[in-house]
Amino acid sequence: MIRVTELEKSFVFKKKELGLRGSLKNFFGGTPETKTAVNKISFEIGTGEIVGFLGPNGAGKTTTLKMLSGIMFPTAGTAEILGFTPWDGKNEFKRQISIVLGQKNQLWWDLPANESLYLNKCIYNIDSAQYEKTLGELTETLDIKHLLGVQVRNLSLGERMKMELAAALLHKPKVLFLDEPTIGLDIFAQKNIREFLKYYNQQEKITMMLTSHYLEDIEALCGRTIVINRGTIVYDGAIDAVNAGLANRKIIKIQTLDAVLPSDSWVIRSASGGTTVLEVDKKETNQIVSRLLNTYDIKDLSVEDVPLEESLETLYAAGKAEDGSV
Amino acid sequence: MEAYKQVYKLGLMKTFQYRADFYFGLISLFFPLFIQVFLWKGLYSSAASGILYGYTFPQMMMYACFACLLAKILSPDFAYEVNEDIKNGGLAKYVVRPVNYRLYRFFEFLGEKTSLVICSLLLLLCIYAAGGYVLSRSVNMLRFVVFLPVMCLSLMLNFSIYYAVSGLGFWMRESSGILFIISFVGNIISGGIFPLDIFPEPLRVLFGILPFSYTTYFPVSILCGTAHKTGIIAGVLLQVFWIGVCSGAGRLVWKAGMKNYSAVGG
Repeated sequence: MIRVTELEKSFVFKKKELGLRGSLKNFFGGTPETKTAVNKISFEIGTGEIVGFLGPNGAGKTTTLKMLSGIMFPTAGTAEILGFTPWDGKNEFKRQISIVLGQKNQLWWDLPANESLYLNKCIYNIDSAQYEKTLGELTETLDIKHLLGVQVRNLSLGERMKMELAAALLHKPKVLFLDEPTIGLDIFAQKNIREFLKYYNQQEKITMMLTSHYLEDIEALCGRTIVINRGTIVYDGAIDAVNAGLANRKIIKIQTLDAVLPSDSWVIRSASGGTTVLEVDKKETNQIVSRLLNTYDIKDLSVEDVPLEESLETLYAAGKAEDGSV
Repeated sequence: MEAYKQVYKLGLMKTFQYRADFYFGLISLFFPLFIQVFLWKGLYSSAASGILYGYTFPQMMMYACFACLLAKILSPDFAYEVNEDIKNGGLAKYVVRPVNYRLYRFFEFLGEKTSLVICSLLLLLCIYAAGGYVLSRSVNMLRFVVFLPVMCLSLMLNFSIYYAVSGLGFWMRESSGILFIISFVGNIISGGIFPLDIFPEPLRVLFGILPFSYTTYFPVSILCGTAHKTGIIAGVLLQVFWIGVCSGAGRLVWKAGMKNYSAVGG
């Protein structure tokens, strides 16, 4: 379905030195520098998969999505989606994909959303009966039927994002790219969008690839996650396995009457107000818990996984170390 | 084609959203005209023959009115939007859909101009009829009829010119500066403010060669009665020629630009 091989994208930009002198220098020339945003990445995605694309700002997520949706030419490498090379710009390809850019809208700002949706019907040559049916289904599931006649500028951010999704799915694409679809939304709207995407994926067996800063999005939706940092893939697999593979550790939180716990076969992460957070080796967890219960006067105890964010930080840091930079 | 019909409709509907802006746009046309009245009045008072550059004062005023309205009809506001699309990555939303950006923008441009064209044509017709009365000559409706298709060609030509120019944004990142200069100078050398006859011979020849004069000066001279049969036929042919050249150049610029295009972000 999607096959990406050694995909690379470099940008040339002018580096500006600090201050007015730098600005002036830049104005009259400046030194061009090359930045590799995506560095020889390869992966494959099968039909119906939802793959999350995770990484810090500037990691190359959006650049990759833009290349895969045909918006941008790569510097090197190949990509094949549904048998097409995305950046060839073939209309048959465009009819089978869609992209939602969380920070850009395709709907006409000053007009009611149904006008823009009708425009997409015309652009994608959707037959009228099919259009009515799909529009009905999408607007009902997204609960936006009553908003079709409202000018886009008068919709809330969440409502607008739902409309964007409806506009992007009208032609029943086989592949959907989502770039930060929940950015700026409140938690309820985020949850709504997530639930819809999950439902739609199950119903239509559509292949989805999404980037997000919200881990909840990825955890709730994506069976598989590709973590990218500084243009290279640092992890490709199930999101819950990020923890398993990287940090074979557990967190024990205890509330004890003993003010200070001595160092033992654990690492004390923090200790304040009677609560101590310990980091232990996963294999020794049970043994340590029973020892703690036997030795100390414990009011409360909980065992948790290392938060995903921390594992990701470790992954990002690993990416940096491989890169040779600090 | 259905898609572009809808784009045209949306462009037209958009103008109804901002009615006040539309009327103020029309009213604002008269301010520069006022200045022209005083300027030319001053100049004509020192001309003993009452004729300057081949125009009497009422003829000059007629020219200024027609040119001013036509320049408003032709104003290439879309070029700034195109520039924004290139600069801020808005072009992406067109690139991913099976739609031709140039046609999309052209039909949106036509849609946005429709109400303006209708209002301006009514105004033009009134001025044209009143002008006949002021200049005490019979009103030749045939000229007005000929003017209509020529004005349509002007719209196409102006779109082609500025669509090609807006493609410079692919290399300049911020091309609103050059767009402003070209549209400002373009307006003068297209005869959008005063007739090209006021320029010295070599400049007049040069402006006659450039495509700009076929957007405004030529159609207005049909209304003013200064263009004659052979001149009109030659003018129309040159309009068609320049539409071809500018569209071709635009295609080349855009083809190269799209290759170079990198939407902002990463």
